[in-house]
Amino acid sequence: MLRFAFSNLLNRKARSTLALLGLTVAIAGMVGLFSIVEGLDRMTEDSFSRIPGILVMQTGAPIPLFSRLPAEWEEDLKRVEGVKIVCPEIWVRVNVLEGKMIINPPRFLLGVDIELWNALSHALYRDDLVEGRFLTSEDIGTRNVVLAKLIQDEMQLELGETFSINGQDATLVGVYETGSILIDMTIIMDIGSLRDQSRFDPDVISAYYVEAVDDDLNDEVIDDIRDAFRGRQADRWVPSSAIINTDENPLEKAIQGFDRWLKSASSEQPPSSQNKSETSPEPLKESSVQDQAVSKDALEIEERLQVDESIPVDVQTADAWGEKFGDFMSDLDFIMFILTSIGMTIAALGVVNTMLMSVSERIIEIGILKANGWSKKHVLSLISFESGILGLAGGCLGCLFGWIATLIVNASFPDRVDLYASPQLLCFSLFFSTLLGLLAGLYPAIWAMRMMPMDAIRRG
Amino acid sequence: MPYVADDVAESMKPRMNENLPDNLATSEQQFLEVKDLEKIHLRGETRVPALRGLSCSFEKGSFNFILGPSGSGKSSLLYLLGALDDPSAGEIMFQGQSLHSLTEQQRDHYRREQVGFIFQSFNLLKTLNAVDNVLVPFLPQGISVQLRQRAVELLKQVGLGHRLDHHPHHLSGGEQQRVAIARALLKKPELVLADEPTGELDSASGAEVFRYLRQLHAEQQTTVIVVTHDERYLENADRLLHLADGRLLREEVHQG
Repeated sequence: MLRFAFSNLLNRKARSTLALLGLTVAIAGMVGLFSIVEGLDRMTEDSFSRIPGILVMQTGAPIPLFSRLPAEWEEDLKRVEGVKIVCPEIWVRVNVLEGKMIINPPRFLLGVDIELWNALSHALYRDDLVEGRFLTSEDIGTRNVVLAKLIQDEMQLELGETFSINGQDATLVGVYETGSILIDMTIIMDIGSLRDQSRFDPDVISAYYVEAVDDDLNDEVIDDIRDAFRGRQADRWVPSSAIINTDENPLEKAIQGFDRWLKSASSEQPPSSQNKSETSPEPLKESSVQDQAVSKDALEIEERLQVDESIPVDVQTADAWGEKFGDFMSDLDFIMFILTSIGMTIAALGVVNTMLMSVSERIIEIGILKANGWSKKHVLSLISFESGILGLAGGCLGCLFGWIATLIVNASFPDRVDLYASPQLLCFSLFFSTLLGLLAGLYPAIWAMRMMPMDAIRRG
Repeated sequence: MPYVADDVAESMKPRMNENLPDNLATSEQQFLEVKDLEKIHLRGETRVPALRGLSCSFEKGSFNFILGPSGSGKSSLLYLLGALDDPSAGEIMFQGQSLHSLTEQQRDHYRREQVGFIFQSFNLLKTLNAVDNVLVPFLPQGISVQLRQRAVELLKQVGLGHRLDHHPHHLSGGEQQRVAIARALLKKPELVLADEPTGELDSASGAEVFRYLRQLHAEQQTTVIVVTHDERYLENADRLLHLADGRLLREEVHQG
């Protein structure tokens, strides 16, 4: 029967090829689209799992670039039990590199306290050095930088070469490579030099990187930091230059003090609302009761995106922060799903059309088969075999082409994308394609199955 | 010329009695009996009567011709005898069992095991070679080595030993009809129904087809019913049924 189904498909080469092509394109598209999502997931997971410490950012800031925290909180963080090292960081976007405007992929300047960074047990960039040296105390106050191999290759820079970042000269002393395009987009330099270069206020930093005495204590340290900062408000920010250049008006100072007192008083939540914010899942539980349709996953994402405004800092391990980052991509998943559904629908209609045409062309044949004792089940099996073979072959080709396409795209744009077609995705695509082929062939099969032998022979 | 694998084929062939009610295969009864058969075809809303209360019977092992002008109901009668269609009224008794009362599964079995069809336009499957076309009735069940060997023997018997792996479009009309004969006889049917088997063949090919058909009929003692316009192939002792306007005009035994 299978051989017969094969020979029927081979006998209608043009029609079978077109149906196969339709399925192949749809499945390859599906593999391609979902490999974007899988690639992003994998990249996020890989990237953030490389950072063992704790990130302290401004509450609600999606990435350190958009975070601003008082520099004076460094001392408060150091006092939290279990904290070993607190590294302040400044993040600035690179707008111009060697006279070339940088839009996409983005590049970032990271200013670090070099001595503190070198004191870390596990330090990103430093531990991934592939050429030259990492920044040392000799580089404090200089514009010596360490950058990613990806950027070095792109800029064709040699060690010791001077180049311009945002209009100012910098000298390359070291090159790192982590293999993650989320990380390999950073240029590291001394925090003081970056402040000067980017006019970053001395009283402000972007984020803190905290290393605990023991990595296993991260969760406890995170809780302690949250407790230490709960209810605290960042001082009203005044440019340092303004403080330096302006004689303080006693009346204005008094007003500012009153203003701060008011804000801190208002930030102290009443017991009921404080409880509410401390146990952020509570309102979610209520809403889940009200709306049974909200899925568990959606609730988990919602929970992670909840902001406890009574704490001015967002404290998480990089891993957890990576998950949060991944949640922002859930919309992307949905878009991919819609695009894939459109492709699949078109492919399914193609198979239905092919099988329907094939059946209507072979009405006499089906009549002959039934005249020779083929039962309805046998006819149904034959047509289903044919459409199933189309689905399976389309799935195999689609997976193969989709997978090859991800390799080609990754090789062509190593600094922009990281597509990943996992074995699970390929297996699912193959299964899905076969199922689609079978289902699409079902209607023509049932149609053929129901014909009386003589009806079929006469109609033919 | 006896079949090489007759005993093998016989042992492989499920008997109809196993699938049909007990009263079906009583040898005392007529082999095939048609009672007051009516068939009305619907052309849109128009009712076109093909058979009008036709009654006749066929003896086991006989060679029968149904003769008559176009529209006399010959083919309609043949298809009803093969359970390819349902009568509007009346009944057909095959070995004492009404075909109308058979379940769908029993009808499939009847067509697969008991009846061999030979059509005017050969109706071979163009994607299959000669051997596989002969094996078509048994493809869903799977083909055993013995069955394939028997198909090859049958093709050799109808003079197609050198055309075994040829597809229909590589065979002449006469050769295609001989493949169809082999297909009809593979199952060692009780009944062979042939609808204008020489209608699309030249005289020589037609004569050849009838020669093989008669040879196999003699060997298997199969009941053969042939619908035809062409009286050139009638032989002595053939039973003739003359039809006109859906009725049986007369029955006779041909005297060559």
